[in-house]
Amino acid sequence: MKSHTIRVLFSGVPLVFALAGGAMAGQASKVKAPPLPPGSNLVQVDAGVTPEEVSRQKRAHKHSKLEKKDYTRDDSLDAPPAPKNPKPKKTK
Amino acid sequence: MKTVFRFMSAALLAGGALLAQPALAQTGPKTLIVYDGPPNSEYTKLGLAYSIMLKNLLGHFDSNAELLPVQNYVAGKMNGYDATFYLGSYYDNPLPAAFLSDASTTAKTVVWFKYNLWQLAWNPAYGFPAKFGFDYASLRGLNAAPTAANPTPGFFDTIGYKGKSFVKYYAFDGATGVVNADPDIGTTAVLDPVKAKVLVPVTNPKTGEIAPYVTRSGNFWYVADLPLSYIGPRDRYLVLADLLHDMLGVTTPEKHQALVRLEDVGAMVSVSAMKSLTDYLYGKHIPFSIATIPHYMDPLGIYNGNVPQSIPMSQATNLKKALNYALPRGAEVVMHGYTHQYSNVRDPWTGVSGDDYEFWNIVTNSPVTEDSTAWAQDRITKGKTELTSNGYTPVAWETPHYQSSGLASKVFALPANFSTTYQRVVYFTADKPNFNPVPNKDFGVGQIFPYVIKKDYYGQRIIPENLGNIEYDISAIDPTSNYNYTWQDIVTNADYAKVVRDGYASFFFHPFWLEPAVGTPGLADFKKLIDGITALGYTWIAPSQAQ
Repeated sequence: MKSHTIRVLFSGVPLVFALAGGAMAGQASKVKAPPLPPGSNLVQVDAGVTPEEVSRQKRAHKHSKLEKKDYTRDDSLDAPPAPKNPKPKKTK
Repeated sequence: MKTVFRFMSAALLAGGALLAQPALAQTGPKTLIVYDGPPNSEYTKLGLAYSIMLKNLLGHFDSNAELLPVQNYVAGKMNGYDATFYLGSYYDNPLPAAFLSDASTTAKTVVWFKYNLWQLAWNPAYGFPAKFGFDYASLRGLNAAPTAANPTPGFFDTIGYKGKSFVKYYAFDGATGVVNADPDIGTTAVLDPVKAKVLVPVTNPKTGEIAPYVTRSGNFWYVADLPLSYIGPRDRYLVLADLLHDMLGVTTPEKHQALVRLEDVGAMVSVSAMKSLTDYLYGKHIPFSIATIPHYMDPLGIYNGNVPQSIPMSQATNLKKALNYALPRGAEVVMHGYTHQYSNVRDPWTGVSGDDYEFWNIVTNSPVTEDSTAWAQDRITKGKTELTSNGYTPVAWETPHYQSSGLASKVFALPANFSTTYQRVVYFTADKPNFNPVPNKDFGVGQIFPYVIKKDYYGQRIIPENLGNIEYDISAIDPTSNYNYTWQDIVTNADYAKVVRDGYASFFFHPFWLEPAVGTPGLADFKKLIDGITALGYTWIAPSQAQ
């Protein structure tokens, strides 16, 4: 496909585009499609979320803490670790 | 670029004013989605999958979009809609002359995505360049085929919008040579700046080129990409989600709300962890929700010395203590499955509540054997009964691991079940999908929402969860928990979510990260995350307040 380059001003930002030269000479009933880009045969397109997001959803959160867990024991009632008693100051 | 964005903002405002129709904001615009459905192709239904995703987003605007394969388009149809969206997902799919003619002449809004614009712009019969002031230029994709020596040849992958860069997903597998990405865009050239404006640019960092990403000429919009592939919390999908307001002419004030949900709370929950989190949120006057699993099951005895275990809500004393402490302190209950596991099998991990899928067989990637409306309804009824008989009323539904069959999703949405769901969703192109790589194969697509969807493809009202959750690498305890997703990651996601003018920041958090045996700084990181989202200017609300 023959192409030529045009310069376009876009909000003060100069852009260069390769415009297909045969474009405007297309047939009334069917125009020729632009060629596929390089490597297109290798590209796999998937709709929806990324594979990473899929993996995050799939994960479970099992851990050894659940083993034989007593679901009736209220752990909020566990006494916090007792602070070490400071040595009493010697008084004269 | 500052000048560019000021210019773009002005263009957007002007566009919104031109298209503003007060009646639409109340009843929702009438919309048509036209998609590529080439017969007997492996991708016959891919266009339908994209259409479902767009339909869901349009559900935010109270619009119940009609879906139509482009080959079934009849002359004049788009004139009966406020806006028509054409999703060009299939390269050089032949478009009917009636569609091309209407797209070039209708006074209604037309939004064209990605491929096949050349069939309209390059056919002189339609006079496209002169009428719209821009032309289709070229199809661009990868700069070169990737190789082991050059695995990232680059492409137009960085979309600039509202001061942020949205980088498209790209992954190259050197062993197979497969590229997982959607690199193709249609480039356009503005011929008449009075008629056509470039609203969003896209750059190709490897070549330094800049091209239009979204171009508008009056009622005609062209989006160079189809931003419904490989989406994520920082993806250019958010640009589309925001621009839909302008495409539909819906005026929405800037408003940002945040949601936090405590996740997978069942019989085995730590009361101490729940009290710590509740006290912290209550002290900051932050409402929250608790994703509650009504009935705990361990049918294989994985965590119970090989002895099967079943704990109904009535016996789950710690769970009830945690809920009873939290509810007067700003919490709401979300029903998170009935058992959050399936049958007496591993689906896929342990068969234990909180670990596995419930309404989807993730092992075979298919609906479960019993999948039916009646089966799903039975589980919903049992779960709700366990909650309500113990004094808890759920404000919303959340599907375990965000995936269920189409039939089950439709059941969740029934008015007698849940008026609201609170989740991400996987959508299928058939209720009984066939994913085998044959012509007409089905697709399942996961979708994240940045705002409330009033009615999705399955009829669900959806409150968003769009940021994810904190994860720690605890692979020494659990080999599947082998990566970190930090509070900073989630704050960054929240920052991106703000580009959507009414975008939410919604995340969830597992209370077990506070348990000493896990050995992670759960509470400290949770606090930093809350503070980080608050600092971005979000207002915290409860799920029942989400509009």
